[in-house]
Amino acid sequence: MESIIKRIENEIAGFTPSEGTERVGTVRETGDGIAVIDGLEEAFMSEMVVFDPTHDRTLEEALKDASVVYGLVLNLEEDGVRVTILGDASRVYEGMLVRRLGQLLSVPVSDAMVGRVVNALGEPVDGKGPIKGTVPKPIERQAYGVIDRAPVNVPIHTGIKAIDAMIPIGRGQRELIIGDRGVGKTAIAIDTILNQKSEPDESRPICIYVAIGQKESKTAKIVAELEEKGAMAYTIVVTAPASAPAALQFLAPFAGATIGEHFMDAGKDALVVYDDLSKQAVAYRQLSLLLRRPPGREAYPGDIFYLHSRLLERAAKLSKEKGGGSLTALPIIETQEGDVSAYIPTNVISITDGQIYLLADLFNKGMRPAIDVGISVSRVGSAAQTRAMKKVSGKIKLELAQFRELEAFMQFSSDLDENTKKQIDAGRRMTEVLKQNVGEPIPFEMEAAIIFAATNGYFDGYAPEDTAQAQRALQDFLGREGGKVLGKIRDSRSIEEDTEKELRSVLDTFAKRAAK
Amino acid sequence: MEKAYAKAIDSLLASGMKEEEVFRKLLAQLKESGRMKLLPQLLRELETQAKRKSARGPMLEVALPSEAKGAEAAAQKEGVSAKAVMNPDLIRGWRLTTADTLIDRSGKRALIDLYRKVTH
Repeated sequence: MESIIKRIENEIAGFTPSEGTERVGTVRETGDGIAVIDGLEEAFMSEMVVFDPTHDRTLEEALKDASVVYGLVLNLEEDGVRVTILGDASRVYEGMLVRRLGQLLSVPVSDAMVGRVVNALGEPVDGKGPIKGTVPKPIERQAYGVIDRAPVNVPIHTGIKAIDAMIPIGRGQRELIIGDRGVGKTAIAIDTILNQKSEPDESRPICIYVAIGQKESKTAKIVAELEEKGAMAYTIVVTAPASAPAALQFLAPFAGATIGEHFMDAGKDALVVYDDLSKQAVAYRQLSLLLRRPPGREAYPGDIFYLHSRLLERAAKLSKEKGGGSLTALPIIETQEGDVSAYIPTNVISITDGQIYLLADLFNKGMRPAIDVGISVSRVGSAAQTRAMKKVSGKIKLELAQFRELEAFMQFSSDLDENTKKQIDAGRRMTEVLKQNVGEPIPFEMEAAIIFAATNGYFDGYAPEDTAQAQRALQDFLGREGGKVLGKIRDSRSIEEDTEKELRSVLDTFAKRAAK
Repeated sequence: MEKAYAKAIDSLLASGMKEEEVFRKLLAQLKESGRMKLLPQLLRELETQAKRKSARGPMLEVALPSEAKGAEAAAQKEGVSAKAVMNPDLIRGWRLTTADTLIDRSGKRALIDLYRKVTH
């Protein structure tokens, strides 16, 4: 108690009242989370302002609730400015004093944010107390230029066989996850976060999951899952739920990018998931219409493309001179009835370095993850694959594409030659091998071994419908008895001749035991 | 529409045109375009704007009568000449508010700032 009294006394003794002139304005009108301000003549775009409710109240009234409401300048007009209110809009009233802060909207960032759940302003919302050692960083920042960047060539393993084998993602890449509602977009992102647990500490990326316009129950479930599986130890969750003002939903991805950049600038790797940018676009459209900006296609404002491009350009792999850190972005876009040619999906497809397209039809057929291999692509390609994965997965994509073609042809013909039948069976078996349950990402060395087994005929003795079960059995077997060879693949990141021999011998043992 | 007219009137007056001439031209324009019914709304808009302008004029408040002279001198230093009005809510000191600036040397502000510093 005494120390608290002493600390307060010190604060009082060291207090110096504010001096100088403050730039202020007055609220002319307010509604729908937007305030029109008279004055603030020298305000600049994206400047933070505070609505101060204490100015015209007595001290007693003011101390009942001395907290301020923050605002963000979004429109500079001839006779005032329009500000979006970043908080409880019901506390803002006509005639209220508004003070300029003279700084761009910033979020507090710090290493201590890891394991925490914060809102779009970087304030903790998990009830675990304040975050220590934070430094404010502007939410909007120019992306790194060409000179500061290095080529993307280090993989970030998702733990999902189909992705790591056919659509590899590199550190610093922007890979879009796109599909209808309920086809497993978030599941892929969460599995990717969970899979980072199998990475060595020194190369494990800090993961940032940004929930935009999501139900709070869904975010709570995700946080619980991450906590249960030990992934919160390297994860930060930024949440702007559906109940949050549109302004916060629009800002949340930028806050996530700023937090990610904090780690990237420190030479670390970071992974940020924007779940999802369709909702951010809707929030920005709402905000723009309320700000009376002219609507364009589908009523989105003219700068909707720039909104997403400037956000996603912040993902980068930095050069050695800049510390060698990286920020990988996994934006998510929700399509309507599988329409990838809608406005926002085409925008984001053109911005990103590839897309993982999930199909509702495949999902309903039981193919999980429901990835359409034909339309999904990673523009970084095999440059972001380990030698081991490159070696085992070389032809899978082509073979699967051929299989899909044959499968379509098969619907019109029942009389197939032996060769075609074999090819179709092989395709079916590979499809079964690539199936994976949600929440069960597997380390890359295990993926490499399973795909090696599949491409080298170790599942050929099984009927296609039994392959998934055999694959699970192999996974268990490798977990039990293949530790040594898996370790070699993990450490060397490649399958050399001797490792291949060793792997074949382990797989032969499995095949023999399975035959019994 | 009335806002656009009010803005036009404002800019004409600012450009140095005489009030009578502005009024004459306004009436002629309204008649010509068949918008005479807009006059009551335009009147209300002009009244609101005048009220807003006067509210944004300089205001010097002091907590105690004895502080008035000092406050007026301090305001003068800032280039604002204003008569001090009493506001006991300030507890001590003075506060000068103009259209887009605030100089707050009151005890109330100091106490609120201190409260925020200690509690946040």
